[in-house]
Formats: sequence, C-alpha cells, structure tokens
Amino acid sequence: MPSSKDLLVEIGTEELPPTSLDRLRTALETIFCDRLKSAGFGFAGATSYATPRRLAVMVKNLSERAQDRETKHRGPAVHLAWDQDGKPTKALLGFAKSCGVTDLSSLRTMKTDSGEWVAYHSTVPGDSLSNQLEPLLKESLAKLPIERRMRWGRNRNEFVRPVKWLLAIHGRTPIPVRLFGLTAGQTSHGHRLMSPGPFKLASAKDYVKACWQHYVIAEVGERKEVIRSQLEKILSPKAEVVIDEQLLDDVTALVEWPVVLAGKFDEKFLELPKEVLISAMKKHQRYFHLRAVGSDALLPGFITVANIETDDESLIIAGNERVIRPRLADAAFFFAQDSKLTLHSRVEKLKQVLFQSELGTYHEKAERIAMLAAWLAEEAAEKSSEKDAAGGASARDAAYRVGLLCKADLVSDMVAEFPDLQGFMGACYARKDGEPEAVAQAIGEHYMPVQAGGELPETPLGAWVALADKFDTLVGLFGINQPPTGSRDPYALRRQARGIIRICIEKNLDLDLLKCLQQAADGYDKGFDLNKVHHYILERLSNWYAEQGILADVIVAVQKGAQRSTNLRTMNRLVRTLHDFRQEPIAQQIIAANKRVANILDKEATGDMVEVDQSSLKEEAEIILHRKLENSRQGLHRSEEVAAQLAILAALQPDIDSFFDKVLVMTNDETVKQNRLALLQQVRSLFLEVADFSLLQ
Amino acid sequence: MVKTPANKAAATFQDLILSMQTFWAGKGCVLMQPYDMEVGAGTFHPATFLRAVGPESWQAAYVQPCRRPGDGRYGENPNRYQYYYQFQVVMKPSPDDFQSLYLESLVYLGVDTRRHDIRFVEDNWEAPTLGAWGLGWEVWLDGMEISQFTYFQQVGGLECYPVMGEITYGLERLALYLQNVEDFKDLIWAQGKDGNKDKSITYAHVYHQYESEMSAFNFDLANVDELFRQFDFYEGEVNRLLEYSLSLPAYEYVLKASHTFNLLDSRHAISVTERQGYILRVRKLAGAVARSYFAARRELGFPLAEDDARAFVDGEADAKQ
Repeated sequence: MPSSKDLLVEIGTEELPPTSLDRLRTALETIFCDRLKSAGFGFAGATSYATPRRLAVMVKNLSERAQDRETKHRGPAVHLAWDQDGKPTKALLGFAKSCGVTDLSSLRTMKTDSGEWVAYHSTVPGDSLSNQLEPLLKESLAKLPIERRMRWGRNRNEFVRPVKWLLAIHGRTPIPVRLFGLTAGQTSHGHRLMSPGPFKLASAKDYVKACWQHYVIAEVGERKEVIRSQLEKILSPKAEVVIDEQLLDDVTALVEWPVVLAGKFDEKFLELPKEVLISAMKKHQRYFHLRAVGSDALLPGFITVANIETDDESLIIAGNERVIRPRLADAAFFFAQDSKLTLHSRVEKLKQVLFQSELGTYHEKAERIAMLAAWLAEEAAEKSSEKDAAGGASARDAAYRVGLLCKADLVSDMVAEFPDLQGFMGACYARKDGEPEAVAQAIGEHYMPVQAGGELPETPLGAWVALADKFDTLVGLFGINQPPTGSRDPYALRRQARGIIRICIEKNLDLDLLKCLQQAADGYDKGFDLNKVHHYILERLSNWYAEQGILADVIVAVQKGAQRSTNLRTMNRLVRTLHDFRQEPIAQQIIAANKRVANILDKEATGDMVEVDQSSLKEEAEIILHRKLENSRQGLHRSEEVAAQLAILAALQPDIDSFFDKVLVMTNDETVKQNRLALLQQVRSLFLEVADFSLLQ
Repeated sequence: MVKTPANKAAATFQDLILSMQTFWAGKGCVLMQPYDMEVGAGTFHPATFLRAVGPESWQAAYVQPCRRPGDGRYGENPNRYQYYYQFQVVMKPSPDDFQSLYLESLVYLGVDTRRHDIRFVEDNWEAPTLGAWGLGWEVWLDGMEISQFTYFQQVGGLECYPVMGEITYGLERLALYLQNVEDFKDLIWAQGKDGNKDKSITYAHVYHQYESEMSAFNFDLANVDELFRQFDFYEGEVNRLLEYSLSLPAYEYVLKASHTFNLLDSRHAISVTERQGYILRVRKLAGAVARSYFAARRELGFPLAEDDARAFVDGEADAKQ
C-alpha cells in the first residue's frame, strides 16, 4: 500500500474577478480531481478554497504513486497464430515483436464473441505524483471556464489574472511544479496589507489555519458566514440590514479578511424613491442598505464590508460616507432632469433607440406592444364572466396606453445610469405625470418576472402588457431566425418564455397560445413562421414541469390527447391532475390496459373509426364494455372537472380487464374481429379525450 | 472632521502632481508633458496608445487634462467635471511588482495603507473608438475609485506583446481624499504666500468659471452642423495622411475626430441608432493608424525593443505576411 497524504495546490494571483470566483473554484476542484482519477491516483475527496488573491485545492489522502495499469493487446486469431506443424506463423511473430515479447509463452489467449485470440497482457507501472502533478495541473488550468484570458508582462501564458506565486505541497513535501514561468514551493502569502510578505506552509493540512493566522479566510462559505453574522450584529431595535444574497456573494468574493462597518448619509436623500437609493448603494458601492424594523422605510445609512481590520474604523467609515454623497447627489440630479419631461413626450425619442436591427426601434416595439396588449385585454374580457372594474373598452384603452408608455423610461437619464431601474422609473414618472395609478403600476410590472421564480405582475393590466412584450420579443427573434443557443441568449428569450408560461398559468388566464403568437406576428406583418417559437415555448413548459418533478411523459400524454389544447391553463389542469392520478394504485393498470389497446390497434386497425355493430357483439364481457362505454362517454361530457373525468375512466378498468380475459379479439371470424377492434377503438378514443394514457410510463 | 493633510507630499493639488512626478521618475519613467490636444483620457496620449503597439519597451508618466463634454455639471457636482486631470503611468512590459509599486506610490503621497481599505475591484477596460481592451481593476480607497489599473491586451485591433500595464490616477478624487474635503471646488491648488490659508488658490478659483461656461457650450451652444462637417473632414485627413505613411499626424486627426464625436454626443446630436456607426468610423481610423505606426517602427527596427521581444513580434508579423 503506497503512502498517501493530503495535497495542497495554491495559485496566488492578482485580484480575481468576483463574479466568477466561486465558479472557478468549483471548476478547478472538479476538473483537477477528474484528471487525478483518470491518471490512476487514489484519493479520499477534495476541498477547494478561493479568495480574491488565490485559488486552492486540497486533495485528501492522495496516493504518492498512480496505480499500475493493466493493458491488453489483441493479436491474431488463435487458428492463424500457429501453422499445421505447431510453429508460430508470421502473423504471431509480428505481433510478438510489436509487443516487445521474445518469449512466446508469455502470450495468452483471450475469448471474445467473435472467437479466440492471442493476447498480450502488460503492466504499466504507475507514475509518481511528483512527475505527474505538473502536466495534470496544466491541463486542469487550461480547462477552467475563463471568459477572457489575459497575458501580462512578457509572459506568453494566459490566465484569468497575473499569477504571482505557486504552492504545491504533498504532506510536508513540496513538489516543484513549473507553470507560468514560476516554480512552486511551500511559500504562500497572507493578506496584502495586514500580513505583507511570504509565509511558509509546513504541511498541507495546516493550510486553512495558516491562512487564518495571516489574515485570510480561505474558505468561501466560512467567509460568507462570518460576514453574515457581522451583518446581523448591526441589527438594533430600530434598524435592520437587508441582506441581499447576491450582494453577499459578491462581497464575499472581494475580501480576504472581512470587517463590516456602518455609515450614514444625509437624510434629505430619503426624498428620492428608495429603489434609486438602493440601486446607487448596491450597484456602485456594493453597500447593504438599512431599513426600519417592521417597516419598508429606508434609513439614511449603509453597510460596507471592508477588507481590513484597523485600529480606527472611523477613517474608513468617513471615507465611504464621502463617496456616497456625490453618488446620491448624481441620482437626485438625474431625477430632477428626468422630471422636466413627461413620460409620454419621451415616447417619440424611442425612435432613436434600436430594439434589434432587423426588428426596428423601441418606438415600433412600443406600438406593437400597445396593440397586442389591447387585444389581450379584449380577449380576456370576452371570456371573463364577471366584468371587473377595468373591464371592457376602458381595459383595452388602458392596456394600449401602458404598452405605449412602458419603454419610455429607457430614454431617461436615471435608467441610463441604473439600467436595473427600468420599468420602476417608468412607473414612478407616470405617477408624477398624473397617469392613472393602474397605468403606472402596470408599467412597473411589465418586465416581471425579472428572474427565475420572481414575482409576477399583480394586476391584470400588468399581466397583459408583460405578456405582450414577451410575445413580441419571442416571435420577432424567432421570426428572424435568432433563437437562443446553449451559450448565447442575449434577449433572455428563455426567461421570456418562462414568463409567458408562468403568467398564463399562475394568473389563471384563459388564452390560446397559438392565437397569441399569431396576433404578435400580425404586429410585425412579415409573415413570420410560428412553428419554432411555439415548439420552443412547449419545450420550456416541459422544462418548467420537470423542475417541479412532473415528468415529460405526462406532458406528452396530454399534448397527444384529442383536445390538443394550446391553452396553457387547460393544459396545466390536465397535466397536474394526470400527474397526481399517476401516483394512485389503479393508474398502472389503466396505463397497461391503454398500452395493450394501443398496440393491438396499431397492428390491426386501419385507424378509421368504425361503428360498433351491436348485433355482432357475442360475449357478455364485450356487451357490458360496450354499454359502459356509452355511459362513460356521456358522463365524461357532463363533467367539467378533470379529476371527475379521470374517475369515470378509472371506473371502466374492471370491464376492460374482463374483456381481455374473456374475449378473443383475433378470432377467425373477420366480421366479429373487426367489430371487436371497433369496440377497442372506442375505448381508446374515450381515453384520448383526456390524454394518451398509452404514452405514460 | 478637520485635519491637515497627512503628508506635505500632497498638501496641495500642485504638490500632488509634483510628488507623483518625482515618485514615478524615481521608478524609471520618462516624464512626459500633457498632449496639447483635446483627449478624453490619458490613454489617448501617443505615449500610451501608440507606445502600446509593437514590441518596444517603454515607461512613462505624465499629467493629462481630459475632456468629457457629457460629464459637465456646470461646476455644481462635487466630483464630476467635463475637464479634469489624470496622472498616467505606463510600463511595458508590465513589471511583476506593478501592484506593489502602485501601493508604494500611495504611501509616498501620505496614505496610511494600514489604516484604510484599499481594494482592487474588477473593472475591465474597453475603448470601442480605439479598438482597444484590457483587463484590470478600479482601485478603491475607502470605497472611492481613485485609480484605474489595466493590462492592455489589444490596441488599435493589434495584439499587445509585451503587455503594457497602465495606471491612471484621478488626480482630483485622490486630492479630495488627501486634503480631506468633499468638493473639487474646495481643493487647495496652491498654498498662499508664507502659508497664509486665506490667500490659498483653490480649484474653484482656477476652474469654476471654466466649468460653467464649458458646460453651457458643450450642452447647448456647440455648433452641430459645423461639427458634423469637421468630423467628415478629420476622417478624410486621417486617410489622406496615411497614404503618405504619416502615422503621427494622422493620429492627431483621429483625436480631433474622436473629440468632435464626443461634443456631438453631448449635444445629443447623434441618435442612439447612429452612434454605433460613428464609433465604428473612429475605430477604423485608430486601427489604420496603429498598423501604420507599427510598420513605421518596424522599418526602424523597433529601436527600443528587447531582442527576444523584437524577434518574437517580427516572427509573428512575417508569419502573417
């Protein structure tokens, strides 16, 4: 048993990009372990570390030597290896030579399906870690998911950021790997300013502790929790910190030795919309914001996470307070500038903003959204039995108005500075302009949902315009053949499709998907083909269901049902009921029976519906089944609830079973046989009214 | 919180400039003077942009006044001006201790690096009009961006080798911090005679009227029709001069075209749809100039290059032909 010890590899760098830091860390761990494994090194798991100035991976109990590798070479077939006199043939001698074998008795035979062969087994001794580490590490680093690699100085190597030092130590033994023109040793570096200069790492297993002693918390999760607990300590009876997880991750990737500090800003800025203040603090400064306990109100303060512990925190706090003031002053300036123009007067300026070069400007898009939203409002109103307050013609006009105005904030100074405030600023300015509250709110809601699982528009008006915007984008980009690819989705079509699905289903909208797509395409009037975009939305639908544990076969079964519904709400009811139904004990029998019926019909039937001739029904079981079928059909049509319909179908199960037990479909009497096939056809079509059960697994 | 500046090295705005020059001259930089043309950043100075091209070694430091017409706030914003100063340091090839040199410069100016939060925060640089990009950071001092740090990867569409490292200090912002004031206006430019504070010359004395008048000019009065004509003229000149392989005069006309574009932009005379077209036009000019400059230096045998770098770049260029 070769000895095994922990291996620690650390790559010291200049500051790494925070947004990809953790992805780089996990990728390094996965890829490096993968390389080690395929090179035959045994180990017991790994851990990885990342700070702004280092990526490191620790491999536990890593063997010093790779396992020997058995290789098998196949030679000529046995009957061609020896001649009649039992002497080796040329083929055999050639093979032996190629294997470097002089003693033919060291060759063996191997059996395969195709016969018996001469074979040579050899053992390649495993190489040592000290030899293999360099190439394995090199391959691993080359495979890291780095968006943009860079060079520095006169180095021809590329990496995320300049590499400053390398550390590689197996147990207590350094391995002098050479990469980036550097040689690895057992020296690392602590915090740049709190612990300048190198330090020596005696043993791999001391890594985390040694880092800590030099003011570096190497483990990402630990650093994050240290920050979180410091943030939570800020909590006072009056104020609490709002912890945005994304921001927390970001900040964690920016510090090695976090120190949470609280500062203040001038109360007069609280007159600005709070979203503007939050955006200014978060986006530019990566500050957390404070709110009053038990209320939504913002407090005039911020929390910064510094990367240094000092003897006088007030200096750093004062510095940060000085920075936020002009930031907020700028936001106030933009707000004042923007307020000079109404939102409506900005619509004209959208003529100068390109949506997509082949699809025209945002002005054209706004007009299309307005038309489509108005149509959606009408569709919804027509179907809705109870007319709500905004029903009828006024709803249509309001939807049109929102559609027209919803993109106008793109040409405001505030959105130019804080793009994430789009929509929100539109709503804000609409209110200032005296637009109806419903219009303002819908403008603010129309980008929703802005992230996976994000909030949906609260108002119907918001939902229609949100749908109109998304349908317009999807139909347009698929129309000019720019669907998203695995790696590129610049218009976030994946999210838009998901948005459509969630709005239709969760807001319980009675809309036909195909009609909506057609209406959106009419807005472009370019004869766009809708097949692909329709298919794409259904694909995203399956994907959405899969995340909820609903398998694809349920969706396919519903889609192949006779209703062929393109109404997402209807489809959703069927899918969910069928998904639940499948968990019930009787489901498997029903699925099996449907498969049996479908198989027979696939083989024997012409596919045309044939009337059952009652007089040709002979056996009791088929007569009963026929009668029950009639009753069930009527029951099915009377029932509106999918669950009730499923119960009716389930009730047929004993009769179907008894039919198959007692009746022979494939009799010699052709008339009787055709009649029985017709009966089965009826069974199938009845089930199909709900879904194609034969497709369920 | 009133406090005298920590160090005499940066007690006034002019002391700051003098100290920076002394420090970087001591690190082997050629002290250049500002380029006498309108530029948007120190990067446009030929001592950066053109010296980044080709294999030649180069270290330089200089002050560069920058004009960003769209950033004018009539002198009313505490730290956003349409005309301000950058201190530019370039080192090619970028040295291994580039970040340490930078931190050392802060200490030289009187920043106690053990008592402040200094961070290198990812901020990659891209100048679409120059066909240039690099990777680097903005440097935060207690949350304030005081410098920009970049490793040039491409300039004028040409790959940079060896890589030039660039440090750009925002002099006013750094001075705000060093002098412990909140507003550019209050920065002490020069101390009064015999240290008389009341006689000090402030940034406002020097520049406030200029900011307010230039903001009015940039936003409301610059002659749009004429500027459009000038842009076309400058563009034509670049192409004409390049026919004579005069890359340096041609480059000056690229700068003129670029500034004209910025002025038109601040007048909102260029629609968002046309904007990209103008950027591409300037980029094309900058690329052509960079190639012409490269050829001219190569003709001269890249006199400032290390042998191995010259051999490598010559080899690459030959392979391309």
